[in-house]
Amino acid sequence: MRKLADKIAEIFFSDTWAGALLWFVAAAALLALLVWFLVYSGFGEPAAPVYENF
Amino acid sequence: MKRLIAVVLAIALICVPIAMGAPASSSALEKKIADAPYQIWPAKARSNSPDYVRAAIKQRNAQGDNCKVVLGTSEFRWVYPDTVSSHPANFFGNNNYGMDTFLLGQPYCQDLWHAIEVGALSEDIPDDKVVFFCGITWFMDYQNPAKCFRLSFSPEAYADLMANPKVTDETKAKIQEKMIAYGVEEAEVYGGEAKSENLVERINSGIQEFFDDSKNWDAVLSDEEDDWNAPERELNRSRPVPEGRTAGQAQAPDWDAWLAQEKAEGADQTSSNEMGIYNSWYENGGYDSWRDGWDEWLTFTDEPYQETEFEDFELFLDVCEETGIEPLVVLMPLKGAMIDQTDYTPEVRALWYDRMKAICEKRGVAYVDYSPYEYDPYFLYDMAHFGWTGWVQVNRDIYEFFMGKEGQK
Repeated sequence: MRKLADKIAEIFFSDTWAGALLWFVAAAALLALLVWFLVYSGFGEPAAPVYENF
Repeated sequence: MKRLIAVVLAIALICVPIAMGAPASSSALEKKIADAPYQIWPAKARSNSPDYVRAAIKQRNAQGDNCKVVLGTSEFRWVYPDTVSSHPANFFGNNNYGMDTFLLGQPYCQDLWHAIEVGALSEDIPDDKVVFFCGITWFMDYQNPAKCFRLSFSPEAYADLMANPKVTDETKAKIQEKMIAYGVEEAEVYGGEAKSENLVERINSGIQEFFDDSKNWDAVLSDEEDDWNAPERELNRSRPVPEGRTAGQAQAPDWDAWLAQEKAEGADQTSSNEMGIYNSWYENGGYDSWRDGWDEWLTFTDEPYQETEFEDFELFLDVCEETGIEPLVVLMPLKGAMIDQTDYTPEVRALWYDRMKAICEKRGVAYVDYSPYEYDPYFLYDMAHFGWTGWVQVNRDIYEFFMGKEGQK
């Protein structure tokens, strides 16, 4: 397991296309998390539905 | 360099689809409406929010309602199905006739309000058609079009009208002049025009708008905010759209059966008097109060009708023409048995009907004239609001205007 992590880190920091692929995956994942939090998570919305009383 | 390419590609992967899909994706408001389809008659805060109206039409139609825009005023106030079962909210809402109505407008909404509304919503009106209920009382001498406009004015709808490139500058200028004449502050009328943003400011405001969830729709969606219709009255509250409204195969209405049913219902609901006035108002003294006071307001000095309201009606038709919206004008009658004793005799009322018909004919606009029904006891349930047989006739006009004579659309 340790070997695998070392291998991934090595590739990640190398100047190769495989390394670029890992950068792409990491950047896409972080951006997706950011977009989910800002747009879809519902953070900051009122706790109770406003139409409850209709 | 390779890492830079990878990061740029990742940004493109995430951001481009979002940017492309953003206008089409559901906003927070649409999601709320989709979760709770309701609003048979959107009250003031909702009628005055073009964003709400767009989202509501979109969501209701996505759920199969096939709702069509019908513009009017207090005649849309909901009544219980066991009182007037032919009211469009009951007629179309409780039966699957293949379409439903989106009743838009509240008390005080007259011609100028509707002109602005069509200009604001023209791109989102299904079929590019509206039915427009136009009331003779709006034009009468006692009425105050300026006050009515100030009470109903929607800054949001006005902003959207001004942003609509289909409405000509000439028509926009006429609307602005009318707004000022009716007492809207010049700063409010012309304020939006002075604001021009450079590219950086536009990008900034676009990004802010995209991520801004500070717009709270609670006020818009809450009946409590409605200062036109007292929320404590149950009849004034928004109604849930009936469950199962689109179940099964759509049927064409049986108009003869409806007419027979509503004659019987009208007779039952007006059994206390000969004029066709609904029982509870008549029995609780409403009619007596009206009769004791009519000579103070249902009267005129020089002219029975106000020129400014005719100008506003023409502005409404101008906006419809420029935006490609086809209107069907419903000329709402008055109850002859109640009005004949006032200054507005049948001859005086005919002046209004004739002039409105002449305007429509000159401009090639379709209209329905219900003046021949002024003495049908069940056509109106009070002085000016459609009742049992009246709604059947009007529903038929609405239905055939949108669905065709055979209901094939």
